[in-house]
Amino acid sequence: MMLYHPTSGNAHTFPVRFRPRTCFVMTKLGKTAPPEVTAVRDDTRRILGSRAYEVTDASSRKTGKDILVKIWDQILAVPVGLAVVYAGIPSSTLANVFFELGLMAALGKETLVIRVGEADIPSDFVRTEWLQYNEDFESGLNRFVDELYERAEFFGIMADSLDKDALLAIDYCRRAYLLTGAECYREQARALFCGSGLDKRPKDSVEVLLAAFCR
Amino acid sequence: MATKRDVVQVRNPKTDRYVKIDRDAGKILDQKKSPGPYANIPVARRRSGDKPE
Repeated sequence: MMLYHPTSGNAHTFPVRFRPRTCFVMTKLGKTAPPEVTAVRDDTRRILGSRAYEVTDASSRKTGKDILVKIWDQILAVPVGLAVVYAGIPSSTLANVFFELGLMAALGKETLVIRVGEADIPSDFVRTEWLQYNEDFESGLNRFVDELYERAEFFGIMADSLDKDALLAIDYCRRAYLLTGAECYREQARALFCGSGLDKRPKDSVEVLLAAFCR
Repeated sequence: MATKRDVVQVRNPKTDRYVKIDRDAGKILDQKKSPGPYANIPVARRRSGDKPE
């Protein structure tokens, strides 16, 4: 897939530094975030941590870079995005959250909206899965992680079945690898990459950049 | 005589619908509109690899 830098519009000509089994949380951050958001983030970190999933957000690391570029890099790197919305969320924050969620959906990432209280969800996202933050939150989030594994299994079968289209099969392997961190998907992608002659392409070509995760 | 294509199907867990794939062409042909598998088309299983967790 051709990727374009969010501020310059230039095509990406360097490999993405992937972070398998990592979830990017999009919500109000900082000292002005309400206590229920802090509670959701703490619970999410605990529940996902118990499933060997790491949680990150826009405040996780200081890069000195443009904030959108920093978020873009994080979104590209991870397989899963969680948007936390609550009643009374500032409209500017809500716009950022759904912009980032849309980016993630377009890039083939798995997404989930966590709804605190009676927050409104924009109509474009009515088909996106959402989870209410209540006493069933832990079981709901665990079920979501189970579904991520099912999806990874599906991506693996798709990669097996589409091996005549090496680029597409490698991309399915990449998505399965990001969700699980399982080495078998990297090995499968490596075999497809070398077996189809894509390894002869220039090192900054779309094909080689796509397969960079397996090399 | 027409050659028989190597067509399989896989359930997409996100939509709970079966996707039909032509393995010879390496192409996704269709996704079923209704629940349940396509008739007379084998369901593909994972050929290789371990299962994490």
